Amino acid sequence: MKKTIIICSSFTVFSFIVCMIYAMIAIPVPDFVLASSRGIYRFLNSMRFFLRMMPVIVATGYTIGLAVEFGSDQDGSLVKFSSAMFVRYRKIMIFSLVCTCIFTFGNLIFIPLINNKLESYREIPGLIREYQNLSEKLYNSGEYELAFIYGKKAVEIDPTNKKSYELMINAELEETKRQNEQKPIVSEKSQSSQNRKIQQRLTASKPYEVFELLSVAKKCVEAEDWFGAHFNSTQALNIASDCDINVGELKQIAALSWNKLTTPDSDKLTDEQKIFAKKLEGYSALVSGDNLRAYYIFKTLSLASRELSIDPDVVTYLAKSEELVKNACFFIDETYNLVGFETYNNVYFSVSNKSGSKFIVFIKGITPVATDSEIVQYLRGLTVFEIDRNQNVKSGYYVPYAKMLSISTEFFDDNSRILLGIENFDYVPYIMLKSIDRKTEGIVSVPQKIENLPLCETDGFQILPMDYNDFELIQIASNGAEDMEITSLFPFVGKAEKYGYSSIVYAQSLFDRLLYPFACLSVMILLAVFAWNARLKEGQTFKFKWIVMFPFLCAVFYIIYRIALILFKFFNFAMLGLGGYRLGLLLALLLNLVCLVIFSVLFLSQRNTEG
Amino acid sequence: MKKVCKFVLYYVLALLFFTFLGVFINFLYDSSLRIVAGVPFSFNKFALLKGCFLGLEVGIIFSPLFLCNYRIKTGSRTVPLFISYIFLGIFSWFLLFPAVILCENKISSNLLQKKTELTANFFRESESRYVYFVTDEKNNKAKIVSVEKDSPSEKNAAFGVFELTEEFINDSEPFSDPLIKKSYDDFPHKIKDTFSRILYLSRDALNKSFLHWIVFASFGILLWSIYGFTIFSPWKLINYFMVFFLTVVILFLNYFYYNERFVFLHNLISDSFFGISGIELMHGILNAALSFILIVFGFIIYGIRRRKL
Repeated sequence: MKKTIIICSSFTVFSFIVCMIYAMIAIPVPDFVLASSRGIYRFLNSMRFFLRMMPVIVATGYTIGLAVEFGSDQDGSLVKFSSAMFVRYRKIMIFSLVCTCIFTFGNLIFIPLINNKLESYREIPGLIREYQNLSEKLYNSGEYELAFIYGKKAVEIDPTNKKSYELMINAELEETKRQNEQKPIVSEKSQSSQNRKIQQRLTASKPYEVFELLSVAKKCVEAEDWFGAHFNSTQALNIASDCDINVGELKQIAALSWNKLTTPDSDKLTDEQKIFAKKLEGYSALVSGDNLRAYYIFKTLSLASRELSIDPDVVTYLAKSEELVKNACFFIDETYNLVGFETYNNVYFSVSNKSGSKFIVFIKGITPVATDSEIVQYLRGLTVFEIDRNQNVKSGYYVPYAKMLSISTEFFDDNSRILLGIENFDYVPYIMLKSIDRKTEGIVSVPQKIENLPLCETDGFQILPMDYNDFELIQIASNGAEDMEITSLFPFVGKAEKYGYSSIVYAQSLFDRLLYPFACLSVMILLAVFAWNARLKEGQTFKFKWIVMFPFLCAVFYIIYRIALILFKFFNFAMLGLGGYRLGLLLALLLNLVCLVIFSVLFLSQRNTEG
Repeated sequence: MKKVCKFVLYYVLALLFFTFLGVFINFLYDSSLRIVAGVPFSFNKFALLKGCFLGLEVGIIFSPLFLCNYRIKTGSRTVPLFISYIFLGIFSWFLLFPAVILCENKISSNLLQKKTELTANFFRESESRYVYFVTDEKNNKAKIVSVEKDSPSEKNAAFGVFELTEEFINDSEPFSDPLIKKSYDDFPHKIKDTFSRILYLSRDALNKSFLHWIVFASFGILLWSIYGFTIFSPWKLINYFMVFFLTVVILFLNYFYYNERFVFLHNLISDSFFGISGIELMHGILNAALSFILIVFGFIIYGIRRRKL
């Protein structure tokens, strides 16, 4: 196989150089590519061109190499199935396996990687624009630190962009100036004691056991922190059972602290009384479950002055109410400037309910955002139709932005799980449809009615009766079957029709990718048969002038390769039609193996008739 | 004699191979045109029959290539083989091909395709909208829900019974289902259409007169005149390449003539001779002239090889 390897490698290297030069010259670089990235874009484009041509190039070199090698070594093959042919077959099989691996990696891994990378260059100018817009907006609203961060991100992508650089420098200068002008309002010592109180409160708000909450409540009583005492005692009472021995003491603390809170302190000044009354109003709203109102009260207090913004009561209960509000809706400003960071566009699917009705969901764009604990998804342009079991369009809504989380079905009791149709899932999509302004009460975005269609009854949220993992698969599938990785494609094929997608399309892509290596191997053995028949005669030497024909030979192989790909696709289509995607795959695998055996037998049965 | 018999047998096997391939490809191609998402595959026996004829006709076009490959493989250079080659060529283009066309004409009326209606519970895409079919298509109408692609808003969502617009139907042409088109759109329709056109013109020529058929058969003569290149080089690989390359070049030359892009040429030469249009006659003369050149080349190559021996 030495001659074959040398000829094949030399031809491949030569063709690689030719392909790279050709692609660099002939394939134009699109205008959207930045000047600093044109070189790498051109290189990647050329690599992709070569990888696509690689099976043809290697097959040409391999066939020529074998034809030359067999010409110089055709002894011992006067009869069919000679031992010399078996030796040749073994070497050819090893070489073919190596080539098949290279083709498979190239086709299934490297080309998609390069495609994604080239696609990312398309998004870079838009991303720079988004960062610049954000930096400018934040600069104009006085958020210099954030403006600097986004300006810096834009500079990192394109260091030659003058506008990004200016935004970054201006923001940095303003932030430095602001920091130098700032004086501390409270002393460092009192700041640290206030921080300790805040930490104590926040720690106390974690779900501890009854006894621990009682201990914290007692400490708050000692410190005359009546908000803290009432809050922790109320929390403990909510989770304690009726026979808990601590219940009596907790009720006492709760009553005492409430009396203290509602009794005005005559030693305090009028302004402080007003602030205290406001805090009490907010706290009452929080305890009674009106989280939204509580949030706005504490938010207003927080924005009133710097002292109030660091007041322990305000900080604690603002955080608490904000946390509770965030479970039901989200802030409108969370969705600013998300368009430029969307990872998926035009996602659609249908979800069936147990009752026989269906939700048809269309989403214009999806932006995943990582928070401390999880990844949330912002859905732009969400349109939902509800169709009843009689195929009538019952209701629907549209919302410009929605926020989606994954929630565990363990949060629900058995009855709720059955009612929602989520008893078979571990995690389901929970979509918040309502968004509010962070500072101003009353500015709300809610689901809007679609013309001539009643509004869906949603209560500001939607739980989809589907596995959250399936939603993630659907997002990937929205890009098309060809761009899906096999690890996503394989599970999706069986579920595609459940969500309104055609399983044939995805199954065809799966078949093409899984069976490609087997087809390559069979073709390599068939080419070996051809090479044996096309070998040099005994004693005949290779003439240098024949090298001129090799590129034309490559062109002929390219035509044959394209025809073979079509036949391969039709073969897979036939198997899919005969057996569906599971049985069809097995059938296709079996037939590929049969072809391999037939071609192998064909090769082994070749003999030297000229001898 | 044994070699001649094997040669003829090889020709028959080549035709059978192409017939089988034609049945396979045409059947699957026909299925892909008619299939819609959610409907199981169905067998169309007329597609099988049509594939049979198509495969045979394409086999006749490619049979000289296969016979030349056989000659290269065996290295036989006998005169009886050469004579049998000529006779097989005459047989193919003046007996077999017309017979196949006449048989096909008799059953062609049953091979009309009926468009399959689109099924419910699937999403499909038109140029401007994403559409979900709530009900199956019936008489070009279906109950759907949809959103416009480009502008997100509550005003761009639509629902109800709509007539499927031409935009939607044209987007899936020649397939029944735009979903299926996504998977099989890399099928070389242009090559298929060109072959279809060549075969259509062959029927047209046969239906007109025998003289028309002879002019058309110049295409076949050109295809069969590559025989001499089977000994172009002492290395068989080069010979295999040459005959394949020449076949492809001949097909491309005739493709350019039969391609609709060049129909304007027909207007340039409007005279007709013996009932045959000027352009057809010119095409026939061109094919004949090229055949003559290839045959002469073949004899020259033969003379050179014989002298070297």
